[in-house]
Amino acid sequence: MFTKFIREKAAFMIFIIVCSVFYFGLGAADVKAQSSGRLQKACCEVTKDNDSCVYADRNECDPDFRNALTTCENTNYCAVGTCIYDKEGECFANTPKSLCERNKGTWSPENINELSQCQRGCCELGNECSFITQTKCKAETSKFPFLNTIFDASLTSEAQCINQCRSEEKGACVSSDGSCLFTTRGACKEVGNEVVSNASSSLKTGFHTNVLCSNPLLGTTCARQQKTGCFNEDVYWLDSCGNPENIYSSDKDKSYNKGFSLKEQESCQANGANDPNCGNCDYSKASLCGKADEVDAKFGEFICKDLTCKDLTINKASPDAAGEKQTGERSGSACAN
Amino acid sequence: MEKRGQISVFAIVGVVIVAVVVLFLVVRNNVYFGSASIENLEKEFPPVQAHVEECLEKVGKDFVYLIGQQGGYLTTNPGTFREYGGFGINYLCYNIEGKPECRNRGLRLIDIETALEKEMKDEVNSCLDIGQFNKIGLDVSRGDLKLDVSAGNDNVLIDADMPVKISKGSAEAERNDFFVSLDIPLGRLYNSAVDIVNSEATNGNFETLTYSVLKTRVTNKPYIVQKLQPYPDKLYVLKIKDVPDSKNEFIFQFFVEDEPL
Repeated sequence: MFTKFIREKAAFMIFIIVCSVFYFGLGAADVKAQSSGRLQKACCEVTKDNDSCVYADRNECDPDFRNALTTCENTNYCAVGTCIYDKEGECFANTPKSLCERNKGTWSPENINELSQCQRGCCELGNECSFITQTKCKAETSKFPFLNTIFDASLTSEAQCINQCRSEEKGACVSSDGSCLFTTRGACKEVGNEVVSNASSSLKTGFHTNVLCSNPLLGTTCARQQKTGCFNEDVYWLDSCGNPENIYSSDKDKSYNKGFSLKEQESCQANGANDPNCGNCDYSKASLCGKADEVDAKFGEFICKDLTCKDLTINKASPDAAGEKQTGERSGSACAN
Repeated sequence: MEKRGQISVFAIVGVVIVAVVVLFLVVRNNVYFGSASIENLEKEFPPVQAHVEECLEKVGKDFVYLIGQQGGYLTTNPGTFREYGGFGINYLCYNIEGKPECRNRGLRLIDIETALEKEMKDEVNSCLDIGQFNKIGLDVSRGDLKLDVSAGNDNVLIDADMPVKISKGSAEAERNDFFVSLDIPLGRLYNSAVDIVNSEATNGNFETLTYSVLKTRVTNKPYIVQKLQPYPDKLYVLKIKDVPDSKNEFIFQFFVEDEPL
């Protein structure tokens, strides 16, 4: 009986032993791997690659910082809140505490929407507006010592903020009756719309930045360069509606600039006072717009007049003078009459 | 016989003329003939400056594009990114188990600038070949390179502080500051990324369409904010159409980690 199955029994025993060897061998390897932490995931406060609060293989954690065998939301050091960087003026929502403090930020457990310093408003920097936090506005303004912080928290959208700064832009304000006024965006109450009129070109109502009222694209009733007049210190071309266009130049096309505004520095340069061809006067060099009398302008009645004194009067009756006093000044500077 | 002799003489004269011209060109490019005055040495700077700026621009562009494609990081460390479309794109917000909100990675603009400064330095150093400007009688050398990167709304400014000396004898001219401006809207798109991440971190979502329309109105350029959803995460791709140009649009893309169902 015993000898009958001895070969089968031996084969079965060998099979069991071989299986056991593989089973226990692999199992032990698994236990060893686990005990050495090779397959364990942990929340690293800082990883070896310097990343903060990453749920990764425990071996990736920087041993100088904390780690825990759980996801990061269950740890105290990776608790989330709002991080405020005063220097840069930035706010980050739901940021881990340890990351914020490591970057020298101020961490608060409050929601970003509940912190006043993280609410955006309109920051005016020179002639530009940005929709940023007050902290960032202060940080940006401090880069320019000659600027004051202008922050308006009442403007709650970026579009409103940008429009605020653009209110001083100048351009054509076209009404639906075809009339036009060259004014600022803030002063123009006309709504932008395209109206088909009886004229060949359609009427474009509303505000058009840097466009002259006589520009044919607008379809207004104003005609270009009808006369000249004084505007600020310079001589300007005026349209038939009385709006100033660009600085007077006898080269009419150049001055018209295809119906768009031309900056003073891009306009003609007057060859001193009484230049009949250019109305770009310079008060610091004693020339100012006035009615032409000595010299005729090539077009219109106005010219850059000479302000220098022709006659120097010596006043010996000056009360506190040790020497002689003069009224007026020498040629080259403004005459104080 | 006489004719053949004449041809030989002409051939010799021709060869001599060509040799002289070649020699003249070689000598002119390799020998400095100017006097040892600072004014003359200053005249040698423009090609050196052009070379430095060319390196800054080339390396700068490559790295700024890469940092945009990788979500504001030049590195892709384990557990912090996901491969998608041939790029290792970083997570800017990590999943919080069982919650729609995410944990902000807190990427600051200064971190992007610092990473660019650090990683670009070696590349710029290998691009620079100041030795090519050395001539017989003229020594051109440079010192250590220090980079300063500043990301504005619509451009990236790269400032290289590196002493370059051109000397002949005791006369010496020196320049330290080299600068390029790249028309890449890194700062503007980064700010949008902060808006998106702050919204995802607090509410668990972000409305792309309204945001795109508002930004388009403000910038007067088509402002594109795309949200893709390669399971289970969200991929945001930001760009301003045709900026800097239609062939080479700059994009800023990043992942927001989400939870598998």
